[in-house]
Amino acid sequence: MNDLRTVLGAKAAVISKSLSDFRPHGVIRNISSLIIFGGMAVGMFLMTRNFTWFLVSQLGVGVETLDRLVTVILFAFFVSANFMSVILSYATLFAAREVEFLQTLPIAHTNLFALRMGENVITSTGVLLLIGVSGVLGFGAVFHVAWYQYALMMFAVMMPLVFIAGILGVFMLMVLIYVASRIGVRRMLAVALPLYSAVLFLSYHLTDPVSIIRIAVASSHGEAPAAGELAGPSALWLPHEMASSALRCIISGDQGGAFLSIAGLLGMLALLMVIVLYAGSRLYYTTWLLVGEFHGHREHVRWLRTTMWLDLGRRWTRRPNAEAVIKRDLLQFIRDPVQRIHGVMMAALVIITAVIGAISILPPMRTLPWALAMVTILVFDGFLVASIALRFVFPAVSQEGNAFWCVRTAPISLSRLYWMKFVVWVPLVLVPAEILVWFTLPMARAPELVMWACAGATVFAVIGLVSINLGAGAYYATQREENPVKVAASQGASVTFLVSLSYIMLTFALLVIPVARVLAGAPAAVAGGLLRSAVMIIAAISVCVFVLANTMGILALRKDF
Amino acid sequence: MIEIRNLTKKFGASIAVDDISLTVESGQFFGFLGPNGAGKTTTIKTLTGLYRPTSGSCAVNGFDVHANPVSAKRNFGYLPDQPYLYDKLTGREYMHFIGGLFRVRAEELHRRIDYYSRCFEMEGFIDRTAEEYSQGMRQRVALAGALVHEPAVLILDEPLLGLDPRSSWIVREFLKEKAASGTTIFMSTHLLRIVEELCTRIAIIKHGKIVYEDKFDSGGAQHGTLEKTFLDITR
Repeated sequence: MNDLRTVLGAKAAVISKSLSDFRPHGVIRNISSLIIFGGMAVGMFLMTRNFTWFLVSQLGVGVETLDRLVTVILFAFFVSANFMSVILSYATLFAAREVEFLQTLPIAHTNLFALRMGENVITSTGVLLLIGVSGVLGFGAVFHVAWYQYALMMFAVMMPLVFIAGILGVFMLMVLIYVASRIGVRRMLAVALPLYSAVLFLSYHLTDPVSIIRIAVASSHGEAPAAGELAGPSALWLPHEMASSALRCIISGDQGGAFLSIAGLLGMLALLMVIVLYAGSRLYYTTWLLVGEFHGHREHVRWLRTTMWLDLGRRWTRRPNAEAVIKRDLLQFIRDPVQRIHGVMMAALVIITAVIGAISILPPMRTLPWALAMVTILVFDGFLVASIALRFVFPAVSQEGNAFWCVRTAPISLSRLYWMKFVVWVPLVLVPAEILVWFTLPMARAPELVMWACAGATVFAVIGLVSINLGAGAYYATQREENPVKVAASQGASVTFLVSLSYIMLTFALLVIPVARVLAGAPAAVAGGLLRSAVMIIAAISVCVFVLANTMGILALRKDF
Repeated sequence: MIEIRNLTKKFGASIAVDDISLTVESGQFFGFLGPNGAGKTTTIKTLTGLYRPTSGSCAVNGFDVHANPVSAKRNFGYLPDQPYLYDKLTGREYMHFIGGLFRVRAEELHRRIDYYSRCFEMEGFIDRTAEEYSQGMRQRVALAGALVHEPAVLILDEPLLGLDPRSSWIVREFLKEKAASGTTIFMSTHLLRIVEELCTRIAIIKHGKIVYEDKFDSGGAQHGTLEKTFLDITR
């Protein structure tokens, strides 16, 4: 344990030094981060409180139905935390230079594994934990729970839930690497991706959010749920079910039930930690070595064959410098196995969401909840697209890496370099965003006029989103960090993600009233005019974001290398 | 031709380069010497546009590096002390990339890549990705990359670092030929014997200031004299 204490001490010293950076630049950064994190927490608290109040007081949704709704939200939350953890685990536990260094020191593998796993869980789920804790406090505020119950909701419900998702992510990746070493990466992906999708679909089926919304809508019309409809969770042992059950018991004053659910959740966390630490003691070093061998594997002959269309020796345009930069970016992306695998995972997530959207139909609702449902779907799509932008666009400038010297000393203007990245990434983010809009909005029976307005608003939203991520990515660029996953998990990235989410929510919220007017049956000319105005306002906001973020990015690119 | 006028570079309160002025004439082989931390690399990074000067200016062939960066950069080739390459690109792809940035015509670029590949004995590894390279291989590929656009000025920061004796000899002979053909070379190094062998003019920098300048008449100083001078000055 002495080695663990020493490493933790060194880590604490690094963190405290970075927090006590009193140079003007560092102070501005720390204060702005604090404002953004704090603002997001307060915003989330208010939003959840008002939304819960609206459901309970205005729509008359009962505790049982609310519990099922919370389960659905916690399920999405759990999957997001788990997914983030899987993505980041590779960088934190296997590909980090720091691990290579630590492996040369006399530190027990189990301790090293525990250390990196802890770091990974905290880094990958930190933002989600902030959002979740603020949300659950807002939820509790509606029911006027006591102070110690707030503490229970934060520390005994949300934290264990997020940690279970994070630890499970580390375990899953370690097992996947081990399996890949036995049957090959392609076969492993061929098995793992459908399996992961199947588990998601099964959990979706068990949770059945569409039925829950139907019941909530029926409650708002004063109809009681039919017998057996709210029979409760079909899989109580699932962590998000236990968390939801604990929250329900806390708000309804059922101390015994709350104790049981919390004990179950904490017990599951403890059991999982024991299992994962044991697995880590057996598998971590082996899998770390396997990753090293995988990186050393020489596959350049195959690469050269498959990337002939990006041959730097051939010229397709009359702008060789722009062509060289774009081809280099694409080659670096395609040839990096981590980028490829994460690209496939993100594409799979978009496809799963689109399929779920395509096969589900929400029940008819009154005008305002109907409009809210549509915009909520749009915001959820935005959340997914913001994750894609964060993972791939944010690190784009940092990815110039240590070799940036050769571009900086070449006769190409830095603003041109920046715009080339922008031009490449806008369509790559826009395509999944539009796919999501066109496949998920029909779930809420969106009329054609609304579909077109949302698709138009998405174009501007994506331009703003890419600007925020590219600009902030340049501002926070760390050319010394070669791993794009680590860049996308940095403090700057977390701040950027929160700004992106706020931007998405703000822009799409502008659509609620015009969409509600359309759904209320306003004449086509009036409805069209209202939607056009909303899209124009979104466009104006996006143009402001575009100018501000990209100016910041271009100026940041000029700083000393 | 390189002109550095009253250049100062500060990092916070610390002064890395303190009001230095230098002119390197066309065709000169200039050796830039100094102890560790004296300001050599900072000067070179400011000269190549990687750092912004706190005050003063740098120009290459009449183009100010910071006011007119694109034109200035067309005129020089640069080799840093740590020549990081793109891990996923091969040496040949890297040179094509640099050639593209400098807008070298495709056919001419192919010819030059083949030429430098032979010249620096890179045929055995030029089609392998840079992640497999040793320090010496990286150094040779980066040097070839700095040369593919046939610059009039070469700025080299420790060009012989990490090279084995044969590679070092190849590079030295090549640099001699380049200097003889009229290329201006600005080289920073700790290898005093190499400076004696190659340079026609030197300057020593210490604590950010130029403390010594000298000119050698016929391609080099008398063997061993520079070491004594350097040790006296930097004591």
